[in-house]
Amino acid sequence: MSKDIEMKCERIRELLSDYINGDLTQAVRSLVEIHLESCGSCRKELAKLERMRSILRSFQPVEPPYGFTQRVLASYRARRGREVSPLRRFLLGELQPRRALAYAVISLLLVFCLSLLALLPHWPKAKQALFFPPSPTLKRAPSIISAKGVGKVLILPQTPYPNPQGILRLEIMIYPPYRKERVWLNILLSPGLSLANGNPFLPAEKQIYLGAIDNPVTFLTDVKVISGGVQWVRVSCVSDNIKWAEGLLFLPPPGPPAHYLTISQNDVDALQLLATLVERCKTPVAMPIAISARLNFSYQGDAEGAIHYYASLLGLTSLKYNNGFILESP
Amino acid sequence: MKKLEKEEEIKLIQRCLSGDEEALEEFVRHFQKPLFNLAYRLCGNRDDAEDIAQESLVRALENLKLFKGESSLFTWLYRITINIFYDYTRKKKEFSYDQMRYGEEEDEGEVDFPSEDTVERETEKRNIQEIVQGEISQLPSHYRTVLVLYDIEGFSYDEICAMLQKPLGTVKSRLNRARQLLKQRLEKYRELFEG
Repeated sequence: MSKDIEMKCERIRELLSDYINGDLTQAVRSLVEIHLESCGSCRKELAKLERMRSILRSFQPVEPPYGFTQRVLASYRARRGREVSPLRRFLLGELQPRRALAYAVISLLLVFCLSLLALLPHWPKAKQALFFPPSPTLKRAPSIISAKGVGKVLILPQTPYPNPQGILRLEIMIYPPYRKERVWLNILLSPGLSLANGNPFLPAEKQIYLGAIDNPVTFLTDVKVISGGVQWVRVSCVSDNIKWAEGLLFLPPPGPPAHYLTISQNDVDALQLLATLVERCKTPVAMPIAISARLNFSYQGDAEGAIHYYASLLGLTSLKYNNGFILESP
Repeated sequence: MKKLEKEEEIKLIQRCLSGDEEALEEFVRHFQKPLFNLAYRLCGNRDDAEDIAQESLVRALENLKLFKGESSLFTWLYRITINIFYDYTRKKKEFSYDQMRYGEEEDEGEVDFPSEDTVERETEKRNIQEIVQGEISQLPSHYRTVLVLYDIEGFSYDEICAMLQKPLGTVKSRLNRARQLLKQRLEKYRELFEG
């Protein structure tokens, strides 16, 4: 008899969830209610289920964390930026034939134009026309390993000498040692240079705000050579008034191709060292040494050893002696 | 949250598909709260909820062109979130012995109850909702989902069937089983049922 009651209770308890949801037919519902009237244990079970349901229904909504919207949008944009290229989709066979054909035609046109561009430098007249594409843009620089773990700025002329209008395009490569915030790029030119599109009577200085940088970037800028003599371009990177990298480039005046002297040390000491080198080389002539084609000075004693020594201190990248010996930095 | 009319939904989707940045933000702002809440109720902690809700919204935006309007946008988004939650539990299961106890089919298992002293101390520290939320997170994921959708989020059977793409019978039996399991787990907190 008690076993029968237990079995009945078990059966009724299975129905309690549907009972509180109002999912039972009228007939079954009446059966459950009759049982509940006489069974305290099942009534207790029902009370527990109802209590549990009321707790669940009282749950208050929670707010998403601060900045959640922007994180979602940033993640979406980042992933959209990494979308599979049409070429890859074509190769994977995911592209519709008509669209694939359109991409193929565009690609062929591009290849044709690029091969024309590659041929143009060998065409003297075209060389000048090509010389300066419009305004500079930031792009990723080739990665190099910074041995000292410090920031670095490299300034590389895009062509060996200025164009007939005296304009030279420079590529400035910035290598942050780690993520740098609020970065200002300061470009300072020697008095004989001006910014290509700037007023030659105003100080040749330019500040560019780059924001946060966590990867190497390159930047193109044009400078105009307005007077003779050796000129220089100094570029420094500053965050919150603290300079963390500097680069220096010496330029010869407009004229025939010459060797360039580049100093990539990141402080003023580089200039002072160069000045010392120049001073020492002015002492009685033993062997004339030419640096950067037009900068002639001499040094008494073991010229080659001295030059090697200073060059290593200065981080000179190329240095030419009159006799054609080229010093290459390690 | 103000529910979007069908026409408003379609307009918002079209604007998002055309790459309108404002529409994308509107979309995220409109659906982030319900999806975050669903994720939070399902997984029981804010960090994982944030990951699940973020992934759901990003995946929804990426696949918006595939939304055919057969169900409501809301149902479609909930379905995405639930699927991501299942993936999340599957991944978590690989590392979690607790979850492994439920076995391959995620069937209910016997529960190890802590001693009464421990329970009393825990009850003092946490409020009722936290306790219940904590115990929900211990339920097998399929039961948990139905319980959250029906008892917390207050969706109808039809809506749940559409979200889970399961027949009514399955949904009802899972709900019944989920309640039984949760009640079983909550028995140890006596004051819950006495208060």
